[in-house]
Amino acid sequence: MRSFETEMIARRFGLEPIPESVLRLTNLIARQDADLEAIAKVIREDPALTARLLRMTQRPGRNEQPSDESAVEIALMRSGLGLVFLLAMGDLLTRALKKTFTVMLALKLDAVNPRDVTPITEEHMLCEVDFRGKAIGKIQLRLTEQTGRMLAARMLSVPADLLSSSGEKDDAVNELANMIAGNFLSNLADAGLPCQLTVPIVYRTSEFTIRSVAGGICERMAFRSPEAKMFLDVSVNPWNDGRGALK
Amino acid sequence: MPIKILSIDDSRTIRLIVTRALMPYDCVVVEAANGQEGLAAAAREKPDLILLDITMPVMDGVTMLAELRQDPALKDLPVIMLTAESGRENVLHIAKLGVHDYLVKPFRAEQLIEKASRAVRLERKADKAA
Repeated sequence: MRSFETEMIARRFGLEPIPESVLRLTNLIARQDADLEAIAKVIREDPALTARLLRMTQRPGRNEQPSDESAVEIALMRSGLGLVFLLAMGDLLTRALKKTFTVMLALKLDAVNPRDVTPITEEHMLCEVDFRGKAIGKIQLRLTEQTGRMLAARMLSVPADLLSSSGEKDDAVNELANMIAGNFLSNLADAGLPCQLTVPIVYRTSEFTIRSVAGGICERMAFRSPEAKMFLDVSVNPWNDGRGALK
Repeated sequence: MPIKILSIDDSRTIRLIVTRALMPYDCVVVEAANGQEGLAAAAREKPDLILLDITMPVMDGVTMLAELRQDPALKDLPVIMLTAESGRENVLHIAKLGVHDYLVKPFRAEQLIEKASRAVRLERKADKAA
């Protein structure tokens, strides 16, 4: 519940609100007693959320359309509450990532289907942030060394070949991940799901599989611009107790 | 005398971006990498304005702000929070500790200059020379 006092502060400092549909959806999930009908109503009112839910729950050989009367309800029954949580989170994360890259780097990223992007097969940069609270989870940003170098150079407004050390590259990628995660968790807190964030850590890996938290569900998102591609993995256990089915 | 601004952030990248944004103005930027270093720098340098991150190792920005406000010699220094954390309840708690303004990362240089200009008188070096 937002108080008058918090809204006055938000206005004074120019804090941005989160989209109404995502706020309503996350509020419903946070209550833990939401029924399928209420959740389906919120999703149906937002064409982007509807399309994403249907894509995430699509069965091979079937092609449910957003216009199908019961498509959202069927998808929800099939997926459970955990996936609805992931749906809302993915939306908030995508917004946070796009905004961070646009504002800090003047880089416009498009969200694309991960299956349409060539996986990173070589050793690459992985920036990991964990969160814990009403939900537990993990956010991972994956990118090639070359992309990391380009991002750091843009952020520092210097030519890439003038970057003096990998420390500069790591610090810049770390800060980008910190901004994405910080914005995302602030939105979660505003929607009634406060969580604590760990300090981001950058390391190198050749493994390209999503690292899930215990009992969690996960989603891989992909983003592309003419200059760069990157993957954002999110893994979450919504209730931290294994519960996940809709009533 | 140029304006003195203390930039406290554990990210060297952010400290560089802040310094670069303020470069056209008649000011000196002093840096610290965490709240503990920031408190020492504030006592030593007596800055006109502090730009303060929240999530930092050793001492976070909220703890530093609370300690700053307890110190009779430093309690009136204007502070602008520069952080990725923008949850309403958190911001309200920080505002009650006493901050001049709040700038959410990601941010543009112009936003930083605009907010800093509301706290201190920033003059362009070229204007001052003329």
